[in-house]
Amino acid sequence: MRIVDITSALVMLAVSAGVYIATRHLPYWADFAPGPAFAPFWISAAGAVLSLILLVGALRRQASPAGDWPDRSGAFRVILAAVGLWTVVILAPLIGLLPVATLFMLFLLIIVERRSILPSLLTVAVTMGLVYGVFSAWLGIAFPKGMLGI
Amino acid sequence: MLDTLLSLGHGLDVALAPTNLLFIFMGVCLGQIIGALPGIGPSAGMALLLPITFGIPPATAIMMLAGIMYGGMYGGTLTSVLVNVPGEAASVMTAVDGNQLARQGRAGAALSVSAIGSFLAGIGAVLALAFVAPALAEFALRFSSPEYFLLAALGITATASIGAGSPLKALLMAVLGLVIALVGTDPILGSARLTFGTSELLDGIDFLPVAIGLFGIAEVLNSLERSFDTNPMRTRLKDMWLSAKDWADCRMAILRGGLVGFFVGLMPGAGPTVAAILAYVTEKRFSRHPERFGSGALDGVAASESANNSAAHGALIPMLALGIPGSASTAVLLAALVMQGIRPGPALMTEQPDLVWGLVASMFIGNVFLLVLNLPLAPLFAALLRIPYEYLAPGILVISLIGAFATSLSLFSVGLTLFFGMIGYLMIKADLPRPPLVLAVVLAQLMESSLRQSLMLSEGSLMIFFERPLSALLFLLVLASLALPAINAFMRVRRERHHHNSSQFTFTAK
Amino acid sequence: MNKAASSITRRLVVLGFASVSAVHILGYGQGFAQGKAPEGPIEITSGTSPGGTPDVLMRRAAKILNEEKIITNPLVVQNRTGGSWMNAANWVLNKKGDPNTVLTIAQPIITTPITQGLPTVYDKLTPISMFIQGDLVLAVRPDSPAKDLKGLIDLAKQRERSIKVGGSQAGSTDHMVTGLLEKAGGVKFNYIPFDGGGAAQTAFLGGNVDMIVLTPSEILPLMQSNKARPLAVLSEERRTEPEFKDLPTAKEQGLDVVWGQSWGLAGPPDTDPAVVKFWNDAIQKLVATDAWKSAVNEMFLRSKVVPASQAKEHMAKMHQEHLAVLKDIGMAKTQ
Repeated sequence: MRIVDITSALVMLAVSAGVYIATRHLPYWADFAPGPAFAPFWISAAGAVLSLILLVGALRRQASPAGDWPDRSGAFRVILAAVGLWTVVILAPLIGLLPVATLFMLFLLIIVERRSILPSLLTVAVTMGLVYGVFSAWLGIAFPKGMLGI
Repeated sequence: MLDTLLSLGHGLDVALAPTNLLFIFMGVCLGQIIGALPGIGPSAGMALLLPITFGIPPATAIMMLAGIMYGGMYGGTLTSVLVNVPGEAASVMTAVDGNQLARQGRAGAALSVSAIGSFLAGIGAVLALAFVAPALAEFALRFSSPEYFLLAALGITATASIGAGSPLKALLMAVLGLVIALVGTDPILGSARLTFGTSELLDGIDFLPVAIGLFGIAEVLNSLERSFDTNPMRTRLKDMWLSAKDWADCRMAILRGGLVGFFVGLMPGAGPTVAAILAYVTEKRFSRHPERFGSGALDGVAASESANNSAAHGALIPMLALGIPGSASTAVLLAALVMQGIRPGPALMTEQPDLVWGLVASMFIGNVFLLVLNLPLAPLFAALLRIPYEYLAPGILVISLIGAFATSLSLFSVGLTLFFGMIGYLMIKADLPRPPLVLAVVLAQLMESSLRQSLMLSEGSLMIFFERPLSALLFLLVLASLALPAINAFMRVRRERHHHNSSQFTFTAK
Repeated sequence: MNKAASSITRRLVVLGFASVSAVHILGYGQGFAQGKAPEGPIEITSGTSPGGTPDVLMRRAAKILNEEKIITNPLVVQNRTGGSWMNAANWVLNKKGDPNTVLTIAQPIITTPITQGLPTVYDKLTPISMFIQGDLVLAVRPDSPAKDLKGLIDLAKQRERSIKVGGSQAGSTDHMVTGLLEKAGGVKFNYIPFDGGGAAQTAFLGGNVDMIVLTPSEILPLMQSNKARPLAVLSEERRTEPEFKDLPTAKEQGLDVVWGQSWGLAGPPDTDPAVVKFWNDAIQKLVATDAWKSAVNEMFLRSKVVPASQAKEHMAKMHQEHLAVLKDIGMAKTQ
């Protein structure tokens, strides 16, 4: 976990620095009370100190137990699912949120998880039926519609 | 006292009318469903269903809407425990421990204890509402910015100790949570902070996308790593129920959680989510096995679930006694009253006895309905986990995304949820705890704005935190909660030295 | 932990009432286009969470319009929250010429661009009508030595910023009203923004702040139980209800502060004039229904119609007035 801790520390150090820089132009104090830059300043200071402690601790540590990382096929499934999820957001305005969500479920079940067709179709039908019935029909929420109008 | 009993009897008369019973039942069922849906919380659900109350008498309408409000508190538990997606914000701590319990095959126990805890805390809160509402409302008014600041500080000081692993990492993640909460318009002066020029971020990052992403989506991604040859959620039937030992472990948690939740719920400005989180961290302090918190503590689930239900009921006190909405849900109830031509305010309890006492009585009945619904259903819902996870996973992802969309009807929220899903997954991989982050997000805004309001109220004097009796008391509590872990650690070190006479023991930082 | 979108966004200003009635007569029946109903369901976009005042008003209006068969298309209120109404506004701005979408107009449509330095929104929309107005009442604690506005100003003059005013977020109506009073009275108050109207009321009732700005329906129960002393209503004329007829306006007391809230509807850019006419007619019919009248009375609002022909000018004037006040209180980023 040594390398992971070092990475986490560096990321948090960068976040703290970013927060400080992005809020530096705001007033630190205003009249009676702290201003908009007060909290960001102290939060980024705390972040920097804590990340440095984590960093130094990790650098000084010798042995480190292996992390819980997925095997190659596991990582592949996670990446495919993540890509699929972002594709849903990107395609929703084009073909509609509900249709693209349906396609995503089929993709995940059949291609990523390699399930057989019939139970997959059943799962998709039940889920989308539930979503449509509750969110659209009952609560009247308007989902983004695609060019096909669905 | 006798007056109250008479009024309550009269209220029962009102609530027991067949139409009212029917609407109470409908309300709690709808609340249960709405609470279980990620994204749509009780307040949004109540508002969406407000139009159906236009034609019905005011008392009936309010009974039904209130049913949705507390029914939602029972319902939120379901998705939190079963699939680790918080059904509504106040169930977020339940997702932490409840889902761990579900993985250990104890979903049934988690659901039953939540139902029982919610019921007992709910009934307790309604009794307090019936007998001492005006006094409690006056008490709630004593809470203002200085007290809120110290209350939030009390919650924040607990971050280091929640989450199973290293306190250092817990604190670091709390800082990340504080950073997330900074995004948006500054609460006092209105300057945009960390919005990167996007108008979508002006109102800040809503809590639900963070919670749904960090817990729901991250967890599913993590589970996709495994191949699906084995089914890990095989539960034995005898684990579905609560054992006598579980009950012994949880009854004090229910009492403490209910009390904390009730008092936090009373205060306009805190709400059920803060209540559940404070109850959870309080319970960790009192628990006999605090090490289990974060990896499946039944008493943690009991405390936070009892707290959110009693907070939902507690919030009705300032609303009924003073006409002040203490939470998003009571604000919708107030809107409903106004639309029915009833003016809420200090005189409501005397001017509209039918309505107020009918409502109070209806909450006894509604809570009984919910208990009767939830107890036998707990093992049944838990059995849903017998569906192989590979079929549940895509459904969880899609419903999380749809729920995220429903929070603001914008795809931006969906993107935000995914973003936090990715962060959550990386956090799991990097062994960074997620509960401190969530806790910090909830408490940060309360903490910052109340600190600044306090100093504006006192024209810059810090004495405001010590002069007021309640804030002085809270200040001592904050000091104690900072000092206790250090003292404990010190005592432990001394004891260890004494027993083993070893000098190798290293002092671990809090 | 939503930043109480409903309360930031509940208030909007009314201007130029004096001319409204005349305009009403002129505007009605004017216009060359024939009204044309769009086909299919119509979305009324709202920027508050469900339950916020504009949301409640629009849901009520939609229900009456449908029930009285004034509009037969299904009307659906959708809450596109976030971004202090900018998400809702951007949604409608992107629907160029779409006859099936209208936007609820509320104060943040005007103020958010000013306070955040964003491009203005109101002038890109097609105004339909402003048709709901709300008054504001200024109140102090019942134990306050100030018995009227003059007393309040005298008290404030004794020591700068000694009077604490509780209200919702910076740049909200409460804040603007405080700024207007400061300017008119030549004093300085200590304005403390709380997380929404409910929190400010709590601070007021708990005695933590001295003064508050409330709507008539919020103040009434507090007046009746002697938990607040109203000093002035900030409208042009007194309200006529028996509860409020004895409450003088600020103007009567020598301080020229007239401010209120108002709500209405606008279409996306390039809306067909026939669709505007259709809505304009529908709103004229809506405000004449008994159901609407009683809803407006229940909530102590007013419903004077600024018709489509005048709405553009009206909104431009609102923009100017808001800009001026926001500049005075140091909240304006745009010039």
